[in-house]
Amino acid sequence: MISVEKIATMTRLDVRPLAWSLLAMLYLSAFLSSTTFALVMLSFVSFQAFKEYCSIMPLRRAERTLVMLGYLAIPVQFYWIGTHYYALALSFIPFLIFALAAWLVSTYATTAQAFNTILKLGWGLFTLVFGFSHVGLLLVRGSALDSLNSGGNYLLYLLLLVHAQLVLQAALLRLRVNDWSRPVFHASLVGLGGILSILGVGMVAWGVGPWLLEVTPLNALVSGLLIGGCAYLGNVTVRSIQNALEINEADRALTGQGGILLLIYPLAYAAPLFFYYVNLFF
Amino acid sequence: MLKLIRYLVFVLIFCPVIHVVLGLTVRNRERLPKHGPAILAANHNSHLDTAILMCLFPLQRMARVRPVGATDYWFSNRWLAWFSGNVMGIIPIDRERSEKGVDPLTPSYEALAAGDILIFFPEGSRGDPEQLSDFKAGITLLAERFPEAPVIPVFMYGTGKALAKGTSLFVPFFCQVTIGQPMHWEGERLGFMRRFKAQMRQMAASGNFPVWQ
Repeated sequence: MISVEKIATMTRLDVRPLAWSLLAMLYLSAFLSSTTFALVMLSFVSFQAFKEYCSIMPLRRAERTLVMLGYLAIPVQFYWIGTHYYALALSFIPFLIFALAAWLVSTYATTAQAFNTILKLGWGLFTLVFGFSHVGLLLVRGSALDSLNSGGNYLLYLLLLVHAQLVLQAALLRLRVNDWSRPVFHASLVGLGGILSILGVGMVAWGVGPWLLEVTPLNALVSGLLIGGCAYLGNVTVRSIQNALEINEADRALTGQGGILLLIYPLAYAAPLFFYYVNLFF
Repeated sequence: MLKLIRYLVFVLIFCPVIHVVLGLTVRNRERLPKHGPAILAANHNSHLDTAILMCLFPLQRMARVRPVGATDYWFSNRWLAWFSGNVMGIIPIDRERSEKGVDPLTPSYEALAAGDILIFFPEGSRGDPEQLSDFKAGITLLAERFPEAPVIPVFMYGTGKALAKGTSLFVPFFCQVTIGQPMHWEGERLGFMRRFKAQMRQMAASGNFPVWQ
């Protein structure tokens, strides 16, 4: 389990210029360009996130080819979305991981080693490609669901709430601190910060949702709580991974530190649930 | 014309591949020399090393950045020799000393005398990926001959994962480049090598650089 101190000391919003730039690119591509261009941008972000993940993971030389296979799966996944093959978009990556697992178990010298590889690469593919690609699904499907709302509005709504969750969590973690450069925290505050940030996101959604998506305030509130909760879990997950690998985001000299994972993991966690919520209740 | 080709190759191929596809984190970039003569002495994991080090410099200065490469590899056939000599600006070094009585470092001396910035790989060849090999003493000869030229140790990590020796499959991974403190000749070869090795080891230990098994 990630320690409270680690979460606290790693929460710095000022050391992620690349991540913020990518976020700005996402906003712009969703609104100023075609859906196809936005999907190309999303696949690029997915590639950067998967690359960062593979760079920090303790992979072996023998796994290079599998990493390449993962990279090649990214444009294919977004191609299914762009061409409206939703069934393939929802089954391609899970099937790929399934096939990979069967192949590795049958060819690797030890089953434990095969499962180790599957776990590392499969997890990266599942979250950073499959999970994140739901942002693209939302973009494409959003337009089809409701003629009043473009897919870009759904994307903006999701990005806004995930962003709000990250900022609220970081701000709440620092709330009781006198010296901002050397913060000290308590376990209860992290838990409380999580709950408060989720509630805060719900409030933001309640205010913004009806204006941006023309949904009822209640629907907006529920979707906001879901997005806030998922983004919080995504944030904790990525920090757990970084903590386990002894990576501190403040030191840019460390392996694979583009800072993209910190932004994409919450998004990759929140996008699938929001996508299904939109399909069912919007 | 050659200058234009070189410019286009770097702007359209090398720089986008290195900065966007691969991804680069540079530590202590301010220690890079603003002008020659100077020597960048780096560990060698991959063919990407040369292009990465060249891409650290602004385009207008790139023509004065000259990598030193093995004649038996970079000049092994006509086309590669043209590309190595004219586009990359590689200075050949005869590792096998095929001509008796000729100092293989002579072209490097000439480049330093002309005020160029040399990229030198003291390990001599690409070793095991992401592992430091033994450093050869050639770097001390350059430093001794040109005491006014600072020797800047450079530690690179990640290029051996992306394109290791013995493989032709390029797989993108983030790469780290750490620029060390400039070193100056103090009149003694063994002492110079000792300081150089110590700095390379210190840089290798300063980050979270796991062994690539």
